[in-house]
Amino acid sequence: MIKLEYNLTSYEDLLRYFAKCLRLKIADNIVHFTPDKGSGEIKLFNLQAGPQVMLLDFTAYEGIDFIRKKSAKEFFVIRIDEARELNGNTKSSLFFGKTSQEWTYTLSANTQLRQIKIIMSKKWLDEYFENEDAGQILNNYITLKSPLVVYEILDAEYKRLMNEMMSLPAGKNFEQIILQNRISFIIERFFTRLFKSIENENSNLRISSVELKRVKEVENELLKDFSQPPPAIAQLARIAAMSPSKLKVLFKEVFRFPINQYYQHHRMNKAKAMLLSRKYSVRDTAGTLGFSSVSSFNKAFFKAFEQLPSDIAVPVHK
Amino acid sequence: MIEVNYNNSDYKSLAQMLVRSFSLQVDGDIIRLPKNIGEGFVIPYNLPEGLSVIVSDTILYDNLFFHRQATASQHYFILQFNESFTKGEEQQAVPEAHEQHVYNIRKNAVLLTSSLMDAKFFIPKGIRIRSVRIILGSDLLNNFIGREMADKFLSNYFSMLLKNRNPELIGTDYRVLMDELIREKIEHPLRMKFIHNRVMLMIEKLVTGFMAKLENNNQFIKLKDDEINRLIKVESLLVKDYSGTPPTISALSKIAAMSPTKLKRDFKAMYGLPIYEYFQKNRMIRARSLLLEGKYAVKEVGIMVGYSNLGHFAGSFRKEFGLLPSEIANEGSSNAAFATTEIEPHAWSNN
Repeated sequence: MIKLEYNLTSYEDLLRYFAKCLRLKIADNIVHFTPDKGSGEIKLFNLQAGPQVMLLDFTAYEGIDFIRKKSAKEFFVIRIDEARELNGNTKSSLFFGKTSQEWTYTLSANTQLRQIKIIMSKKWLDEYFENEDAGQILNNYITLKSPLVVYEILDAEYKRLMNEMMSLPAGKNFEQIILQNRISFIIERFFTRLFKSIENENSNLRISSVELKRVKEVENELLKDFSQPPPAIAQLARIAAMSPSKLKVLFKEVFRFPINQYYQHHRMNKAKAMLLSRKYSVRDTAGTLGFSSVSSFNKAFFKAFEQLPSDIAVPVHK
Repeated sequence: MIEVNYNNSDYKSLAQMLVRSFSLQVDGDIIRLPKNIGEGFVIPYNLPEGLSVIVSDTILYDNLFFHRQATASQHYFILQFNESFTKGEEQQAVPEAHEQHVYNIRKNAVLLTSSLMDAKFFIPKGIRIRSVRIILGSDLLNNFIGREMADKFLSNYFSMLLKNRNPELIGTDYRVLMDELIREKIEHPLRMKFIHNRVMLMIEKLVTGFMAKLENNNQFIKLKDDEINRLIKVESLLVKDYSGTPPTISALSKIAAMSPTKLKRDFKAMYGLPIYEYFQKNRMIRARSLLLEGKYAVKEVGIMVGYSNLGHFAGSFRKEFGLLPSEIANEGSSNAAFATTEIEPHAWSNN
């Protein structure tokens, strides 16, 4: 069993790492399997101004354990795979997760794997969700849900898209546009379905558009300034012109978290972003975000991310 | 006869100009035609990367010329898909201008033109026309298919167009995409992405379809314009409505004013499939897109595409797509197949 362990968020680096571990050569962003190790290839594809894509289509004589380790960088991965074992059994699935979590994928020997991985930065997704009706709900969901693991059955439509990407009917000439368009459809489809499933979960409660607007105002007020203690629920209820209990219920409905937890999540995410920008020290960050001491900041940060601020103030390399 | 002159490089600004000059009503994004001008609606969308789209479903009460004036400053292309519907035998005296750069959109259902050239689009009165028009920058094309391929595509395409031969027709693929885009309200949680992705797919289909025909020894139709028009009419009749039985070949051959043998041969040459196979394929594609919308039950879709027997519908559907309608329907509407699990990472590794 070959073990591949990584926390890389650049697929160029990841392809190099794969090639190194599998002792194969990279040519033109493609790793070809040599006859002694298997057959097929792993291909890297960059989408214009955005996600990176890895297309895996190979059979290896030895099993491979893909182990993703936590990364300090927040990227999101959609992975579609179809594995055909020697006895003809086929397993297929769609997976979605973020790189701040661990996950594994085990491929047994002599299994034909067809896999498409799409990695997207948080920043790209922010822009992707901007100006879309479902944008805010989706963005909150993927940012705040922890652990974020979506596991879906690979249905016929995804399989069709995958087949079209793997076989490229029109030949190499149109690779760019064909791959780009199929990837766009996969991303669109995934988030549309995710949104519908989020909606279905909450469909037991109705909220009017006026109430929705007020709840959004509350959210705005809540996240306006982290250096001050958050407004009291009673105060927020006045802004929303509803009772505190109603506000609590509706807020949770719309943003999926209780008010204070939501505040804390965003505060810690802001902290992480500040630290990752390398423009602020741990002390500055704690101060800006209204922590009375560095140690209470450390404690809160550890609770949120299971690591200390000092861990990510220094770059992690694999 | 109305003539509109413009050279806008995006459809939002063109729409604003039309609203001002014809005092049209605006309702959000939607522009509705007032009773003195016609019926229907027009919606412009501006997308990223210089893409702009306008969709419309209209009947005009007067003939109209859209005159796009050449600009030297900006290089972009205008790609349009127009589907026209006529009631019965119409043959109005259209000014069949054979001037260069004048296009009757009834004859040029799929048309690509360049901002560097003058172009006049003739829109006849009294006919329902559904259109998607796309503005795309020349950079976009170069980025996607490479400059060399883009040059090859464009020079071949425009030389065919100059010879008054239009190489593309509206077939099923385009029709499905048009149908998704030409709606008064596109109900989609990621609406702009939905539009963008379909527009890009239309561009892809045009380019790859044209180049495939070019490389396969010019598999373009070698028929007279008039014959092509009649075949287009036959095709649109054939796919207009799936809820009843399709017209017979002899009825179609009367409409096409050609013998059944010639009709069958030429139809196949133009649309790639024999008449009834084409009908069936389109019917199934329609069923699939209805199922994917997730709003209808399998049974409803079956009836909408003319099956009273659900078993027959399922059988035909599987023949076309290799799976049952229920397999598509489930993924569209229910979340049975969609689990957002709370399992700890690691616990579900794939074997």
